[in-house]
Amino acid sequence: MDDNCMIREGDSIIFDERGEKMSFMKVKASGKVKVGKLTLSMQPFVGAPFGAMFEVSADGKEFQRLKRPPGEEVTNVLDTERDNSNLLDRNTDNQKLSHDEIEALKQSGKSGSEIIAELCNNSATFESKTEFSQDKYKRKKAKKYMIHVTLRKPTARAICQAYYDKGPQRVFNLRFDSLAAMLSLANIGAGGTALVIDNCMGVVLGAVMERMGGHGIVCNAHVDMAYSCDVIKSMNFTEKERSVLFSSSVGSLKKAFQEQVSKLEAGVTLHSNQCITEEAEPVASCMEDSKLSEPTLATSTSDACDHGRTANGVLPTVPGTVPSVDNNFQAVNTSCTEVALIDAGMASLKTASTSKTHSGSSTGAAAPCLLKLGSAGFSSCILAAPRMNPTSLMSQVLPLLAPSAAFVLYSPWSQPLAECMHQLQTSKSAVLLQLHESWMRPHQVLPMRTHPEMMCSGTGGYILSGIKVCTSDGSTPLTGDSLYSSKPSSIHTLGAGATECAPDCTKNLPGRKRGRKNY
Amino acid sequence: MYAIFRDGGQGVANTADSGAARSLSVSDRNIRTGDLVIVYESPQAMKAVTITENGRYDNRFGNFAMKDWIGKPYGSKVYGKGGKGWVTLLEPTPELWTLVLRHRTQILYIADISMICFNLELKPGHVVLESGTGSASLTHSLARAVAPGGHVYTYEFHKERADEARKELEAHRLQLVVTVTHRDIMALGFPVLNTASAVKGQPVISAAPPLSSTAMEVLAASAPEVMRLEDEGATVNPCNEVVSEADAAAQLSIYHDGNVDAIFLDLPGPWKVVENAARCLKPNGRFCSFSPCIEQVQRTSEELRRHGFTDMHTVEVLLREYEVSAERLYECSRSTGRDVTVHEPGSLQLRNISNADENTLLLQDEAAPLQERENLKEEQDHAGSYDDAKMTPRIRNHIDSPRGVEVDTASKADSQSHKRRRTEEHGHDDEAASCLEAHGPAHVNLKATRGPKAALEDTKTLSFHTTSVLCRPCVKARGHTGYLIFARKFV
Repeated sequence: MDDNCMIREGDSIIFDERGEKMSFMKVKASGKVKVGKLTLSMQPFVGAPFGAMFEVSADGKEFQRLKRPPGEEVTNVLDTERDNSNLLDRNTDNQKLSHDEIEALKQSGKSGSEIIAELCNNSATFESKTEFSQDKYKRKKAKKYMIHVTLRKPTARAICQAYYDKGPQRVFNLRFDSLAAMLSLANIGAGGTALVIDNCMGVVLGAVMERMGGHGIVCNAHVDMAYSCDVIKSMNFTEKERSVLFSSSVGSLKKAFQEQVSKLEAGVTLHSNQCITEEAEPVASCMEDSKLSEPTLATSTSDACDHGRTANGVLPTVPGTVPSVDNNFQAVNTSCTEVALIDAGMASLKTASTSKTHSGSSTGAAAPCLLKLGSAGFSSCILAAPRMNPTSLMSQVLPLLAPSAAFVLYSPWSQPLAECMHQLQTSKSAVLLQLHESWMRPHQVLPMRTHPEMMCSGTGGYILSGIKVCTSDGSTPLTGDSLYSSKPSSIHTLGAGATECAPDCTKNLPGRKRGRKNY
Repeated sequence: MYAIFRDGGQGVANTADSGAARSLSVSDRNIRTGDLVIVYESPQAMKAVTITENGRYDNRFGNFAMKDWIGKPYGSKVYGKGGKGWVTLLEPTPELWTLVLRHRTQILYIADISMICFNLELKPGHVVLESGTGSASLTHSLARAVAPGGHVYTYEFHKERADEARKELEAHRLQLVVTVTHRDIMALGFPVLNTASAVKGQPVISAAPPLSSTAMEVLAASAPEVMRLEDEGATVNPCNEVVSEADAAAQLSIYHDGNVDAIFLDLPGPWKVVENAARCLKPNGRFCSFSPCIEQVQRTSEELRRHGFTDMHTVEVLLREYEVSAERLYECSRSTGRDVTVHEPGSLQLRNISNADENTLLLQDEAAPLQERENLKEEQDHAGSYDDAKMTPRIRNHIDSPRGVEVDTASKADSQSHKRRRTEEHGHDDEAASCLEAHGPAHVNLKATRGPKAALEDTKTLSFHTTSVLCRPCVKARGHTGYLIFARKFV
């Protein structure tokens, strides 16, 4: 499978400005991008490879491609004798060049490195600084006077990292190492069937779809209101990669499953194979037939900017509301292309809302796609909707999972997950239950200056993972077994817990409890 | 792809959709002969077994005949003869495999594995190189990430380990997704055709089989710059053999010039391979190296800078585990204005009983069944056992020292009342359970209890406690595994 590595007209990128500012952008030859006070053409971006670095030309008129990675000349510090005993901090007095003189330098067309050289020469303290300090000074100035931009590929990792750095509250502090662990613990892989509830802008959903690579099923579920999943529109998914996605409410899924189960029990065989041929079809129809509560950007109605590459996104339910199309991580940077995208997005949303009528039967929505699933249930599950109480959410979602399915819940708070874990343990619905926090420490690695970074992230959220098991021997998961059935015996003593499973067990006598001394 | 150990790369790599269809139908979630199954007793006791018609599985919970397992769905509890208990049969995943595999070398665990797969931006269709294979812990996760359509080329310098890994991956039906090669990467680098100033002083492809003339023609057409072989002293052995296009493609496929999406190194001296790695990677390709020591990290970073890599960042990751239990917290009494201390009879004192002396008894308080049950939460996902001899409660994952609930018996009155309570256990359980159900585990459960001594002393004093589900980090934790250096090939 050939991964596209050149930027084409209409592709999305993450525009990384100086490593400080990140924004989603659609590349158009005729488009313009704003960098600081300058507005420059995007023309050089089209046809450049993903990951290409550009710098603003000395005259500030255009982007120039960088041939070598910047900053590769790292000072190998030789002299370690100097120290800062004689340096006095006199704020801006140490720099002899005035602000106006520096501006003049910039205007005169001198390159960034020349300006920095001038600044160093005119600094009263530069020579007496230690070499480490000189290096740091130069790097700091480089960041300021040399504008480097990188056109990053919008992969799940890059997006998650960008959101965590620039807008963590919108993703509930989901850090990329936590997301990485979630994908592994939930056994996300191509060909599997994944149930995802994502209230983190679609970052989780996008990561799952990326791993699916067009094989399997990803169900974007919600309980009441559909969540905004804008991110997946900006990941350059191909038609095939998008085809795995369908969305539904949890209630619809349950109904549909129960229908499948009753059909099975009635002896109707399911021919999942025949659905495979209509792969592209059912997904689109699923999305069109679904309730009005889930307006989507159908693949056929492409907006003006889109060249068949918009992903299907699930937009907020309330008809008439403005979808939170937020292509930037920071304050809105309205480049012309983005505005066009938003307008077009709005237009197609309106079309979707008005043309789709409320579908009477909720099961009609998910049915064609669920035929693929059979009645086995999902094989993986990621729940990243921290505003929902995990315990109650799991009680709804657990029956939809196949036995031996791996599930993961994410929350920035540990307590709700602890309570959910406790409930799952006492009801014996899952094994290998683990509550984790991912700890990550970045390091600065430079010659003679290697140490952990001074600034570090304090939290990446908590992860509850487990594997669902059959509640009783051999039964299918959807025969109405309530997760939290209030049969006293199921919550009780350890010995009694076995009675429902081992009919031949006669040892459940008082006083003879597992794990307790007799006295 | 959850079917990785069953259909594995086979079904999915051949015909993408039919494999998916197979693995999605209901019957495929059932255990079949020849399947690899994870037999789960507890988080610390899991074992991988292959199902055979006449196989048996015996442990302290019973004797199990494997033929009883065939046809059952994964995730079932199965009971053994002897009626002592059950085990749970789980479908293998790369994560479970990492926990049960036989260690031939030190392995990577989930925290690092997941970071590697995610930060290398792997997805189906990608080509990834790995060195060294080791016990193939990471290899399974890489395979899951790039299948179908992608490939993992993994290299191991120890011949026996390479063979064993290859056999294992075949048994897991991954041979179409993973190629294990015996090769010393630090000495020879990954196989590349363009050996111009490759690993210093070493002919890179000395171990490579000769290239047929068909392959040479393909090369000349597709990558003419690679044909300056004689100049650089390369030792490609062109032979005048004409083969089919498919064979020529296979011959060329072992060379990785500029067609690799990601490279992972777990070597003692990864800096030696950086230049070669740069040659293998596509532009914008990703590099990762795992090193336990900071000196290795420094040298590797220096080499990365010199060979056209950018966006270097070095991190450590760990998964910190939390343990969850229902604990009782006491409140100050308001009725008499006196503090209710925790030393009154009927209270609980938590102490490490690894050195428990004989005089301390393991007692139960009225609500203790609930309490202990929560503290012994790992017991609940154990296999069931009615063996009374097993008395000491075991602790959450990875902690060896047992912890129990013990009370210093203060007076005889206590022991009598405790005995009374014990026989009424069922009743108390109902009470505790109904409290739980009524209020849910999250809610504060105010339950007035009367300590017997308090009852004797002062009938007006009531001790209130609340039982809440609490979590805290595990005492025993991993300190360090290694540093992960990530970099991107400049484009």
